[in-house]
Amino acid sequence: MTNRENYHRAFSALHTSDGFKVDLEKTKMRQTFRFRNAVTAACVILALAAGGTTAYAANIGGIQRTIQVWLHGDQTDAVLTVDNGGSYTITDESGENIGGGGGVALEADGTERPLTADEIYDHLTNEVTTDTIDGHLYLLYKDQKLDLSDKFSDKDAFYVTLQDDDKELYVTVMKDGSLASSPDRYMVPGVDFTTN
Amino acid sequence: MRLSAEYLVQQYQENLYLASFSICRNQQDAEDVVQDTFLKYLHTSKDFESEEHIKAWLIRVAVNKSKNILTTFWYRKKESLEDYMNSASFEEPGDQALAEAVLSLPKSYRIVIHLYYYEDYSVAEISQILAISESAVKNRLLRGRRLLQTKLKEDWTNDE
Repeated sequence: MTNRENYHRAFSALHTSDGFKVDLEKTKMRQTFRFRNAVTAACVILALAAGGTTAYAANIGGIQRTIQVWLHGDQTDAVLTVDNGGSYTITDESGENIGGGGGVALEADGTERPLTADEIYDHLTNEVTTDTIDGHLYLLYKDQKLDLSDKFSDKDAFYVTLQDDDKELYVTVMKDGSLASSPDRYMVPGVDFTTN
Repeated sequence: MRLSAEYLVQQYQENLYLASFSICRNQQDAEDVVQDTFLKYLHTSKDFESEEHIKAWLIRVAVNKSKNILTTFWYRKKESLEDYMNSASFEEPGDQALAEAVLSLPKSYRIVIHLYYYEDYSVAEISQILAISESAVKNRLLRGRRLLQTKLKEDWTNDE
């Protein structure tokens, strides 16, 4: 037997897990949301209201999309509904409201416009948040979570760089779970943002 | 030319997985890379010359994504390499030792060795896929083989 034959046989024993299947439907769905230029050209201000109350979107024909959200420590399928005014609601599979908010984009010339569904989707799927789960403080980003519980032994702020493909995000997390982030540099507590 | 993603998944999913696994050494990470690589294929408008060209492009994307994963800090509950290897059904007694020896090589040697011995790519083709010079490929192959020979002794023949 040659090295090549032995190599082939050995590595042919290594497989993906039994439940693994490439999800082409999911990827096709994501393909619809690849419009980032408008966001990078504008400054996005988005207000998040946990347990928000905006429920009128569906009545005026809002755009609905499936989105993954963190809920009680697990990633969960939810429905994002966006209306033409830049407001949105997030409902769980049973239709219960679990969040909502709205936002505007500031164009380079200073004019304001409502966020589009794409921008809101983009923002929410790329959002960095914190949550306390079973007494542990976690940093949440996309489908990843990082336990920060032991990161604050002798300091109030924890600095971490998130790398996502070619994109970097500098995140400063405070002991109380508040955070500030920037694609350029770490935000300094007390200088770039205030804390409680 | 373009081929359907469904066809490519069927044909090359395992090739991409193994190329990625040879870098990440983690099943979950390698599966994520496979998923993301096909996502990238769906998004690209690139026109390919042949099926071989598509396969080489997919491997290049998978390799780059795998390297990116190694540079991220993210915590993820991972199955250890040892557990994964112990759960695999190797055909011959020496197969596990060979796979473990390859996976213990430095990262830059592992992928070159894998593309050469598993995918049967030539030095020139590996050079194109990894975007490194042919002499760098030859060097890594040489050093990788020598390390394998040291680790595997008579189970790895000198084929330099």
